[in-house]
Amino acid sequence: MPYKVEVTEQPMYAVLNIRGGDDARAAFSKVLGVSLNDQVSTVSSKGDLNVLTVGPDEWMVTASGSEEERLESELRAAVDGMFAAVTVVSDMNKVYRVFGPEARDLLAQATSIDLHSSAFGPGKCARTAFAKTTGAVIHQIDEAPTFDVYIESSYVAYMKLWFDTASGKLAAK
Amino acid sequence: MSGQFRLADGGRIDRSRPINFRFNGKQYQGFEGDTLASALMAHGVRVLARSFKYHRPRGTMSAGIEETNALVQLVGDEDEPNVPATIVKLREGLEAESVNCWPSVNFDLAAINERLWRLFPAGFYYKTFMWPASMWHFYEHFIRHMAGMGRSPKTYNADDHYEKRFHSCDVMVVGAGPAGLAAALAAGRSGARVLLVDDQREAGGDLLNTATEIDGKDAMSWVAESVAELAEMEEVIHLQNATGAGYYDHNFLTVVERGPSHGWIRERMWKVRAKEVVLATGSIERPMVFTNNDRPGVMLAGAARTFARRYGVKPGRRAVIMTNNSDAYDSAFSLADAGVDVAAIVDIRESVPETVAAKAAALGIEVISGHGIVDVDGKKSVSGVAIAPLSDPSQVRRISCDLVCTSGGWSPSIHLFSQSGAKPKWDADQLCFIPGESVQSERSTGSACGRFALHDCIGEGFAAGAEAARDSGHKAEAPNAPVTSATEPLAIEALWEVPSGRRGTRAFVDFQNDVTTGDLRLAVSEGYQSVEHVKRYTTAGMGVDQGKTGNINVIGILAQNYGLEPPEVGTTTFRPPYSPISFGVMAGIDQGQLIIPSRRTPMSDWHEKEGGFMNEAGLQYRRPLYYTKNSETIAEASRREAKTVRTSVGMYDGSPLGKIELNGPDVVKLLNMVYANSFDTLKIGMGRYGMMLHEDGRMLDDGITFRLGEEHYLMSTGSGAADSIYAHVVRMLQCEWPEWKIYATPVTAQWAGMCICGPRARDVLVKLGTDIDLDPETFKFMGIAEGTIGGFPTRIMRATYTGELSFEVNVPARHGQAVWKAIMEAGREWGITPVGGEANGILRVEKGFIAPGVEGDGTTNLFDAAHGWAFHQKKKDFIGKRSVDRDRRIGGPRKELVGLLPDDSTFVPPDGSPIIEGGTNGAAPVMVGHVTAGTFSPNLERSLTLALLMEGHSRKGEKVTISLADRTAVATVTDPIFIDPSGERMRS
Repeated sequence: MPYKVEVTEQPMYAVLNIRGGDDARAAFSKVLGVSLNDQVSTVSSKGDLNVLTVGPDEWMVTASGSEEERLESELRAAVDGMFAAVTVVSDMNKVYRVFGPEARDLLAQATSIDLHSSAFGPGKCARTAFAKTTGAVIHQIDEAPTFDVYIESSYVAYMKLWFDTASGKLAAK
Repeated sequence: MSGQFRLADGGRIDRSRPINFRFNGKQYQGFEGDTLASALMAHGVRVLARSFKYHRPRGTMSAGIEETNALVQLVGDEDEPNVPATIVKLREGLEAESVNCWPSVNFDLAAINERLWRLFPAGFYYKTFMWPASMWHFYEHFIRHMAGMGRSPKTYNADDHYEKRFHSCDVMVVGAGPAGLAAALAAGRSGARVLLVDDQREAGGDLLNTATEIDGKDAMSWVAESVAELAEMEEVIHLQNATGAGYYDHNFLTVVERGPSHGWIRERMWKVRAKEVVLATGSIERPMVFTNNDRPGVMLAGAARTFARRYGVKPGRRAVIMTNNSDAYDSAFSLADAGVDVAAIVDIRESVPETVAAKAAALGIEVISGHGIVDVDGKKSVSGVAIAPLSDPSQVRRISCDLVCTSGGWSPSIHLFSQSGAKPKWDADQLCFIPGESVQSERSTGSACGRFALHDCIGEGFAAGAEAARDSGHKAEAPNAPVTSATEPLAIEALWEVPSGRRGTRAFVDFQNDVTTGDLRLAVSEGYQSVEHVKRYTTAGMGVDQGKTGNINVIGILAQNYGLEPPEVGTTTFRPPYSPISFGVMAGIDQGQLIIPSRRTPMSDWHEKEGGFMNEAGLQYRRPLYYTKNSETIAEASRREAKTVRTSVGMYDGSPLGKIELNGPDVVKLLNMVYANSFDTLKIGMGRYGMMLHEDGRMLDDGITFRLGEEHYLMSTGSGAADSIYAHVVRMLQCEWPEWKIYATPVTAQWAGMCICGPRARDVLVKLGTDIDLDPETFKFMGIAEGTIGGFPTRIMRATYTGELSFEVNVPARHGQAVWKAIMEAGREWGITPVGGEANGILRVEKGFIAPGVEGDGTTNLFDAAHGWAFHQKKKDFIGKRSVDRDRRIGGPRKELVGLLPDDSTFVPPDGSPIIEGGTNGAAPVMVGHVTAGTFSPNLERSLTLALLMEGHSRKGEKVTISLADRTAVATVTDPIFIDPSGERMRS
């Protein structure tokens, strides 16, 4: 009866907000082993490491939680003396993995971003309002479709109730 | 069982599936496919309602959403008021009642209004119930019961679920009649993403109601094939029972879908952004206007045809048709087919087109041209009509009948077109408004733009769909239209009102609100010249039906009375929604606990477990107001907490305090520009209080900014301002000074913040264990240090909002709860208490720490608020400087921040209480200030307040009068700081 979609709370990712000009970008890229895309709302990935271009000079580096310390120190060191910024924001990003054939039916209730395959897809991301929260980031991982949704951690209780309601799970009881 | 008016066969009903329902307490049976209206009609139930004002008996007059008479109350599980019986889908166990009648629809006491009708013309309530003025409340009680129709549900149905969702598409088609289906097919075949919506139960539009052929077969086969083809297209979404409700800016439209396939949802709202829109919304028939044209048994000709063909019901036994156009003839022939005795077709046109005249003659139907109906006999049911030549209304001839079918023409449904912001234009040949020039990416097709011939509908529908698909970026072709049966040209002639030839007769133009032609003439004679004014004065078009069948007749009659053409009168503004929508679907799932996106801190669970009374405290954060111990009152709890802070130690959760990381060589430029203070000399490891101003000099926010490194700063904002100040900073960086090299990153929720304050604060941290040197000589007031505490990474700031020795401990949010608990444990030996928002309020007032939004009104600058020390005059420029300079140059008395000590030291004046002067010798008192925040100080054991007082800085020591609800109180003016004015304690 509910929508065919699963929503799971991911264990805390390492999430770092990095900013910089061309020189810093090159330095970041060397540490991360992937290029930092020019095009906003695209993602470059290497294994579990994803670099989301969320602004013309702003990237979100996400990786498994155990990588946080290493990434922070190596990225900071790489841009020492340059005009750049490396900020750990793991704790303020709660990540929900939304996947299943009717994942879009659920997400369409939260965001006006067009997630249809002709407009979005694996390797794309978007910063958006999400339900009544702001500043969320959606990243499509594969064509199942699977999405990672990053939401400010102060909204966890609200989001649990929202997901359970919007998916039809509560009505199914 | 099935009703004496039910046809033995025919219609899109399933006679093998009977359905039982109740109407006004009586049991009836209908069939799957019926509406409530068609099922009642089959049983000969004619009186379904009483009219709004005169309580005249009324029956069904249409077959769709445009129904203006037969509104019912659905009772039981689906309690819903004022639903047109013509769209209520019959289902097993349905229960419905008439509205606006008592004790019953057949015997209604309020029908006395009908006897006194001359006392109730349009706008009577503007001229009555005025004297004596004192009686108004008495009148109102009765008026309230007489006004209004159905009732709102009294209980909340927890099984009702609603949903709202966004949707993007290339082409949105509104209407799945022949034109809309054609458009959707052409667009769908190009691979475009199509959304097709239609408000009926099944696709087909008017093809469901008429007998037509497409490609030599019944038109409904073409419909079925089209629907099947659309269902195969992956990128096409086809919704029935879905109303195009509103058209907004930038091709944003709303659709309300009833009973979607996801069965737990009662209604779903689609919020659609379409690249291109095709409006195939069809047209609605309007009645002719003649005396007593509202009697049960008088209905639209097309509706009679619909009941006969679609629902298998005879609307009556003997019919008279009243028309000004040829389409009504097709209705007459359909009725004849269904076995209704069509006694006559009364046609206002002097010469009737040959095709229809011949067909009528062949069926033995008398056609009376150049005539009109001048009266209708029968009150609860038509029993006959009086007709007369238009040239001489006194030459009356009576024809007995129980059914009158009237057609005054067809009005294209231009509602969505008009809502899109475009203007309609008048089609003088077909006497209707049609869409004018589009202002958004949309086009109309089919009868929605006055194209009534079926062949044109389909052909132009294909073209419109193909054009929309091409405009949205796809390659599309319009196929040729199939062969269809011919559509008789309308050949309509204008006669907005059939003259009755007698005085004191009433002809209705808006049935739902009981508006007559006499009311329109009254409005004209009283000088109302604008159609918008006439609408509001007479209430024509203001009912649930929004005048779908009445408005064009109103415009025609006004035009006649003004001596103008209808387009010169114009239409009133069309507003969404097209038809009523429920509050439920507007709320969607945003109900109950989901109305507010409540926010929590890493320690919220702990607060709740330990008796914290949680309430909303800015930016949707739920924070503890106080912690109750042993059934304390809020006053007792908060005073205990505040006292403990000043005598020992307390801790509050400051996580929502805004935090912004600033990096770059130009950060100091930004700080100097947004703050009144100067940040040139701020050293690494130290913080400085900053006062942020609006451009007009008012206080915007305050907070402490710390320097963490050469080019690394941490700005803090007020708790309720975290998001708005970040937005302010980003706006400055992107719009005003984009050349400055600064990166701003918000980190409020990244850190859990807990503030330990009180004389024992340092002891607690030492006990807990930290690698940060807490020696006051090393870690000075306003300093910041990084290290570990209890083994966790931390930033600690010596900042205070309580005026005591304070350490603000920040740890990454994941460690928040653990560190909070560890601190509470470590502080136990000193009786550490958690501190809520109420206690914080006491502590800040005792110290005169301002909250810019509370100790400031629209006129307060920082000098008024005793913060002039923060204004760095030597700085060349900063936001707000010019405005404050101007204030100071102009001079003059200003409201200034002071403290007040009430004479009665136990009494706390309420926040906002005015401070007054004068009021003697009969003169009214003058307000010279107000109490901004008051409290009972447990530390001084007396009441005290902060206040804004005219010229307050020079009135210290004087007594002032505070105005209260029922008396006044006297207080002495003091400095706005009551404890430790030199700030020794926080610097210790």
